[in-house]
Amino acid sequence: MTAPGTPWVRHAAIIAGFLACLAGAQVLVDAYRPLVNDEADVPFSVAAVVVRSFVGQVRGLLADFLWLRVDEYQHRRRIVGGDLLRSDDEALMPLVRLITWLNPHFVDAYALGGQWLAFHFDRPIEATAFYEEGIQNNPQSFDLLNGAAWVYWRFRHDYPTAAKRAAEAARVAPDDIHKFQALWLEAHILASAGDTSGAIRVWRQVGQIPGYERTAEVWIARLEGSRTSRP
Amino acid sequence: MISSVVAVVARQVLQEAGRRRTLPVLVLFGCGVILSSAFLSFFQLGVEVKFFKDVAMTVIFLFGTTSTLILVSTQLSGEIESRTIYNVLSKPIRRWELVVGKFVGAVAAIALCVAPMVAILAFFIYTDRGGSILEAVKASYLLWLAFAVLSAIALGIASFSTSIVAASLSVLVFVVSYLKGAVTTYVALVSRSPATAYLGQALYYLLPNFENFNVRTAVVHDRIVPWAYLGRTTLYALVLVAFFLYLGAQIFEEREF
Amino acid sequence: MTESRHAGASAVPPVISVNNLTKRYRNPSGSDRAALVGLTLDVSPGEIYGFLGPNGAGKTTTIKLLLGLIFPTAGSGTILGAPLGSVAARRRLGFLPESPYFYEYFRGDELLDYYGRLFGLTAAERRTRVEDLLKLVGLWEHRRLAVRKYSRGMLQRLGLAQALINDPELVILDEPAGGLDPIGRREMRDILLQLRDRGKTVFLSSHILAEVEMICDQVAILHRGQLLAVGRIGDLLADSREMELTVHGLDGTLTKRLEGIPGATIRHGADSTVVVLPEQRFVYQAIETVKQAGGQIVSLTAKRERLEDLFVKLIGSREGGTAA
Repeated sequence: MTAPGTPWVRHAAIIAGFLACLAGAQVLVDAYRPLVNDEADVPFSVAAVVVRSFVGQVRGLLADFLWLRVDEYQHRRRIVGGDLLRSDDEALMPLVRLITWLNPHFVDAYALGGQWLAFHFDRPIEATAFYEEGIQNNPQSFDLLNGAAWVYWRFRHDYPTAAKRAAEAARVAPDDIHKFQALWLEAHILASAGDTSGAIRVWRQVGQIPGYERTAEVWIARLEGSRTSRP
Repeated sequence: MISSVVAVVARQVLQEAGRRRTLPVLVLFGCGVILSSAFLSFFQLGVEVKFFKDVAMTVIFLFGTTSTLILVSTQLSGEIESRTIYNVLSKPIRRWELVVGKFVGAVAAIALCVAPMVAILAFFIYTDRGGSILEAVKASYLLWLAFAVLSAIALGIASFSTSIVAASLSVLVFVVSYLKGAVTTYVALVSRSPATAYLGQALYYLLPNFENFNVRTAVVHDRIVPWAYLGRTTLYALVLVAFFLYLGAQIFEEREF
Repeated sequence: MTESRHAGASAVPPVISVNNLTKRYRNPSGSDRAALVGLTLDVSPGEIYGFLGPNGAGKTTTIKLLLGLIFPTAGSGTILGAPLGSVAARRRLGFLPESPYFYEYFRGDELLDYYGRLFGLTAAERRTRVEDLLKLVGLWEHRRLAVRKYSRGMLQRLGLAQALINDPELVILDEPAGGLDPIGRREMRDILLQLRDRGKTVFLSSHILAEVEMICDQVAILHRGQLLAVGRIGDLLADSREMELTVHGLDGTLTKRLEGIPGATIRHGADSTVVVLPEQRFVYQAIETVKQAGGQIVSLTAKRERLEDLFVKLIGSREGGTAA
């Protein structure tokens, strides 16, 4: 009688079966991962992936700490330093980028970074790219959709894309105030693009929001007036 | 009879975990850190409750992982080193029952370690009305699944090694599971060869992926974790646990004392 | 020279039966080290079986093979009719390892309760057995003490208690007297004899030959993994014709006169002297000589070969030395 032995073939078959089940389970999990955690569907560079991997499970917390520093430094600089329009944004921008690497769901960081790139650094293309990355990772974020619409409109004069983003912002708006803001933006974008009919249509949607009927009427009347007065 | 033996061993693991000072001290320390961050965040202007949630979840993760490694790496190899294994294996218990019993006891003990920290987190979410307790509990459940998988890995390694080697190798597997994200992405981005691309894919699917259990970001930012995701991740964890316990039991079956 | 005498064939199946049991270990250098070679023996039910041998003889290796803690390189065996190391066998036996170690954070009663649960005993059974066994081994007063505070002797007693928790048919003991004081050893002996009287079989390995000789029905002597002798003690030990006369008050003259008896040897002790006479026929001559010289006779006994003598003789002849 020797030690209980099992043929290696049987062991190998069982292990192969386990690995197949493991791969299958991972496929099932992957179907939901973009929604619930911060990995898939994010266009990270190799450097970002390395940083994220080494920081591991504490990256969310690290992002929070970095944000505290950004927030604190920005406000302190504005209060103490003098320039109310521009703090030391250039020095803080890499931190903002790092925060989004560590936590792609950090909407505030994307919003702040997009704003700085557009308004302070005069880099609208990079601003919209930053916003688009944020939207890809946070498709339900009103702030990012609305902010992107502004930049497309004011800086890049890409009215169709701006209007599309504003309409999406209106769809995901958390309340009537935000919905009004988004529809207001969409209407002005369409009007800027010369699409008066489209702008009127949007204002009619505003008129359906309780408390904004009068505002909608005024703007509809103004647009209709400008349409008829045009030669 | 089979399941009762497993339950007996699990009970012993639970009792011992409670009597040794290490785990209760870790739990107390973890609760203390969460409590202190809660009071700090209340007094600090501009800090949102999500910061507290992130701290709490990270503390649960760190202390849970530490507790898991300390508890599990000494279970099997500790019995062998202290020679208590002779008294156990001379009783009518199959070797795989001992391995499974140790696992069940360990995950139960870890759940008890994590529960107070989760309770504190839930309390502050409730009192501050900063988010959903249910989502926080879901995230904690997924963390506990991660600890269960880590326990199975540590037991599998402990079936043939000493306590220190088991703990060290388990940490290594844990770290590799995060680094493999870098490796597979690098391979996908840089490689021009289909073979290495397939290798990268294989690594992704076949190595344990602890990121599956990480939904803290979603919880911190008040997202809903679908029940279907919990179910699928539980299935993933079960497959991993079964795999490593099977390996451990097979190795342990052939081991001589 | 190997002496082996086998017990006569019995209609009752043996409790332990091993055939050509062999265990070899591989050294780091690649060569084999034989811990046990071709062991064949039977242990009948209801007896106390002593398993003897010097350090490294293979006694613990044999026990581990019986329990399935290690696996044989060759050979086979059964224990209580089931394969070696099987769960079915372990359900009906108890085991006390050498220098037993237990979970430090358990109390004495909790530890026994734990082992009782492994046997599937009900709560009521465990309660009764734990109390009875702790009282039997003299640990009832210490039942609520953590095991890590137990002395060496207390651990040994606790070890015996856990070996009996399932009321086993076979009890395997590895150095059961280790760590026990003389009173403890006597109590241990009494318990083992009680077990035999109740029809249990006891298989014990021990260094303490005097203890083995007192209680064992059969013994097997092992050396360097090989069986040197096996059989009933009475059969193994040779009868001697020597007589020992113990006397007080020996002076130089008396000593000289006793030394004149052919073949007599004299051993002087602290307060008595032992005169070893080669044959019984010299006894009356020696007694008369002592009486005439005014000496005092303390005792007269027939000198018998002890187990220790046989042990040393076998081991010594095996190693090429002189027998005792």
